[in-house]
Amino acid sequence: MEALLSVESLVKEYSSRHLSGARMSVRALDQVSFVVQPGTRIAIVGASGSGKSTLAACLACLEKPSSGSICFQGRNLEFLSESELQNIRPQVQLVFQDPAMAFNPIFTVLEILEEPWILQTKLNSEERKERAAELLGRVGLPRRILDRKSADLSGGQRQRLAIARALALEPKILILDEALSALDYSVQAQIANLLLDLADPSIPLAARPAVLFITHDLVMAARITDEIIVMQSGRIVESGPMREVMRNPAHMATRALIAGASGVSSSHEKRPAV
Amino acid sequence: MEPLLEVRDLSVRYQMRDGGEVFALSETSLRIESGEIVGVLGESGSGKSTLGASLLAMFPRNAAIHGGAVLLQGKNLLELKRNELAHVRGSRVSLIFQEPGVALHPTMRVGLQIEEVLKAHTSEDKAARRREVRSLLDSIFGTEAERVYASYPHQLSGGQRQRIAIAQAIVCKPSLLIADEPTASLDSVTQREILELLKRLQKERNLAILFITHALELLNGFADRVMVMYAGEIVEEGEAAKVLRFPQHPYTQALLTCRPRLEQIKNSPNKAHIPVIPGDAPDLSAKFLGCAFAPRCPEKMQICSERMPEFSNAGNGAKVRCFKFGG
Amino acid sequence: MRYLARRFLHAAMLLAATTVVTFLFTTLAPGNYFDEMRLNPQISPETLTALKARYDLDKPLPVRYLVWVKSLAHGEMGYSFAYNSPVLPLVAVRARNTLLLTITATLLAWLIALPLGVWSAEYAGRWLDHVITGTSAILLVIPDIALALGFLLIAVQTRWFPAGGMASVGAESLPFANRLWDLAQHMFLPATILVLIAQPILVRHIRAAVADVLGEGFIRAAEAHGIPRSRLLWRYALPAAANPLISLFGFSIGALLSGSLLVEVVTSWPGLGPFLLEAILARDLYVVIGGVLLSTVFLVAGNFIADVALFWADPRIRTE
Repeated sequence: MEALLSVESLVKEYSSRHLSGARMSVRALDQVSFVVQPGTRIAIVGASGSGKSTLAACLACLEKPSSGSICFQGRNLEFLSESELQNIRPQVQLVFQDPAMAFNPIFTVLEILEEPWILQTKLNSEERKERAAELLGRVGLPRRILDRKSADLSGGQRQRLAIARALALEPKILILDEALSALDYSVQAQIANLLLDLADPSIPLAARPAVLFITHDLVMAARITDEIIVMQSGRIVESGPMREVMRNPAHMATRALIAGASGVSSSHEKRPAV
Repeated sequence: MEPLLEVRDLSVRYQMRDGGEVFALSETSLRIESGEIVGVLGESGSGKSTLGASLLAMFPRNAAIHGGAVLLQGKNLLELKRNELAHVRGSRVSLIFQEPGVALHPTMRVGLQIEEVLKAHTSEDKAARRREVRSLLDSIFGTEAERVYASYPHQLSGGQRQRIAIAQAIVCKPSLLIADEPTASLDSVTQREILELLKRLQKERNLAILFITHALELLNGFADRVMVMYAGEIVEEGEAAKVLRFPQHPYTQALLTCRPRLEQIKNSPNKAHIPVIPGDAPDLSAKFLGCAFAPRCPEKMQICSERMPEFSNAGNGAKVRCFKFGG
Repeated sequence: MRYLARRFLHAAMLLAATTVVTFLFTTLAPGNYFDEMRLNPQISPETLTALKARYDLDKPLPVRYLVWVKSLAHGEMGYSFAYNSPVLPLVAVRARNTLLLTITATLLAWLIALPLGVWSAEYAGRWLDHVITGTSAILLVIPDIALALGFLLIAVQTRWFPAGGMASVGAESLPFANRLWDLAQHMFLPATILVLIAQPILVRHIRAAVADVLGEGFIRAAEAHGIPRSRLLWRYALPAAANPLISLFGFSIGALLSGSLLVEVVTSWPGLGPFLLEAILARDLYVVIGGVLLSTVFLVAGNFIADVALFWADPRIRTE
């Protein structure tokens, strides 16, 4: 089976300037390689500054990697023309921590959802409305909010709307960058269930997006994904099936994350200063 | 014995632009003894932040107080003038917020920002202030203290910024620190480090801490006492170990089950649904006749929608506002 | 430092572009200094042609520009037909007077606008705010020229302060302190008008900038730490609001400069204003270009100072 996404030796460097004027380059991503098979659920976990958000931005073509390659269905993104990239972008959808910023506050929910269909399909307005309502149903939002403005929704509703909009394009990969972290636990549970439904193995593979769940919350990651990639200082330090890694964590960073998530003091497992 | 701080029957409403009202706090009472860590557990809209800010009489402009008192060693803070309040804030009771990034002045060196607090509350000269801040930073940052002292906020990490905010809050040795979701924007490892710092300060300085959070697992082994809030009311209150292990109020029970536990996942990974709390978050624009949780409660009885229950003693030694236990 | 170098380069390029544009506009305007002489029967057409040739007016535009640039390099800035002398020394004296007036007015305007704007933001919606914003609104709708003439009238009627000029007759012979006092009295009228013209815009922007900052988290945090209110306003809120205000400062220098050209004419302050007006009417080409160029130098310098101040005030820019 062809990999959906394969990342090979990805490096992202930022150059910054120190107060003294000396130029420093910071490696946000350092030789990152992994493969995503269609329909799988993978967690990318790490403390802040581990490079996981930079990785998300590179995967969603929002940042250009300094070196290395990202291949989507075997095609290296670096060598694609802008119009070819335009075809791939809808298939890789990114949901951020704060979806409020992603929506134009004066748009209604319907306008937000139907926007891509107006551009890319021949659906008429009745059909678009029907499909939008159907999508809302999938993410557990009532049909009546179609006419509401996104600014009037609660945080949890907005995040579901963000996921609905990502799904509107029938993506092959859904990347969630701390998408649950700002929400109440009861709301997190609802959206986590939605993600579990999306990736239910009983759905045919073609209709099931792969989920990349990027977070510092190991508990939720462990609950809803099957594989884990642990990052630290821009590098992948451990990866494997979630269950194995949870039981026998090999790397210090993984153990620190597990300790932090279980509420055990991590003072004796100091992580290196970043 | 008189408690360090006591809130009596405090009700706060917010006036909304559309003319409506939000009932943020409804006749809430609480007591904090010196040197104890009290966890306030609640979701957004539960009134936990309003409660925390009210202990310093810091209300947003659109807030209206509908009765109640906030007594700091017997003195009602709600009756103090602005300059009298300024003397209390930061020197006897202080507050830290969720976003340490926005809580610090962007163009002032952080060391100076801590000195500003000392300057506001003491008559020490500049050199003495500097010495005091340096020694405080030494105890919090160790070898990094010197670099941190001269840094601007944008040069520090989230965890370092929150430590600076804590340093500001305790530099004048207050007896109570209110921490409103201080770790919500930090990763789990840094969260633990902040908790350890707070715990250390509690022990070394006999500092009472009101720790407001939605992240219940943080309270485990940290808080002495826990109060659970729902829709502007405290619904369960008791020893942390008991409330978190044997919750009695249906809301507390539901809240605890919708957060997965790592030990369970390790032992029996399953991809079935996580239990959720059915129904919508409470509508705060009207006063409830009965228990605010009743519409979502699996154990709802006839009486629940008729009046709000009083506190009763429940099996875990906690006080619970639920008709299951009397009321 | 790269930021400053970039800003400096930017300023220099702006000035160069200004010379081209003013040169173009002034020379393309219809008529020239010698047109009136044509009507004079005592001056022969040959003399006229010779005069024009002497001042290179018969050459194509690019050549005339280059000749002018060369004379700029010699510190002459071209030649005044009316005064029959190089432009720079003529303009320099007037520019000094304009600068004196503009800088004084700018500093005064800010000294007054800062507390008004800050208090207005602090007491937003209360009576003090209403008084300040109301007065600003009234000042804003009065045309500058009406304001200037009104004050001129008051000066002439009451004789409380001098109504024109820059010094009393015989002031040169007075001791320094008295001369300064005499200058201050003469400056009172034009400076007051300028300050009032600038006031509403400054107050509004300061109010908006400070009000924005007062809603920020760090102000709330500082309040929770018991920082006294006055310190909160002046030491916390104002510096944090500085970025837009520093840009406004650069802009206000420009606004006051162009305002001062008008006010100078009304109050006969011997600055660039009356001088430029006279030169424009007489089509004294190079004087106009020189005057405009110097005004632009002030403007660009003002903005450059603002950029430097921004660099100094905001550590986030300093460390990029």
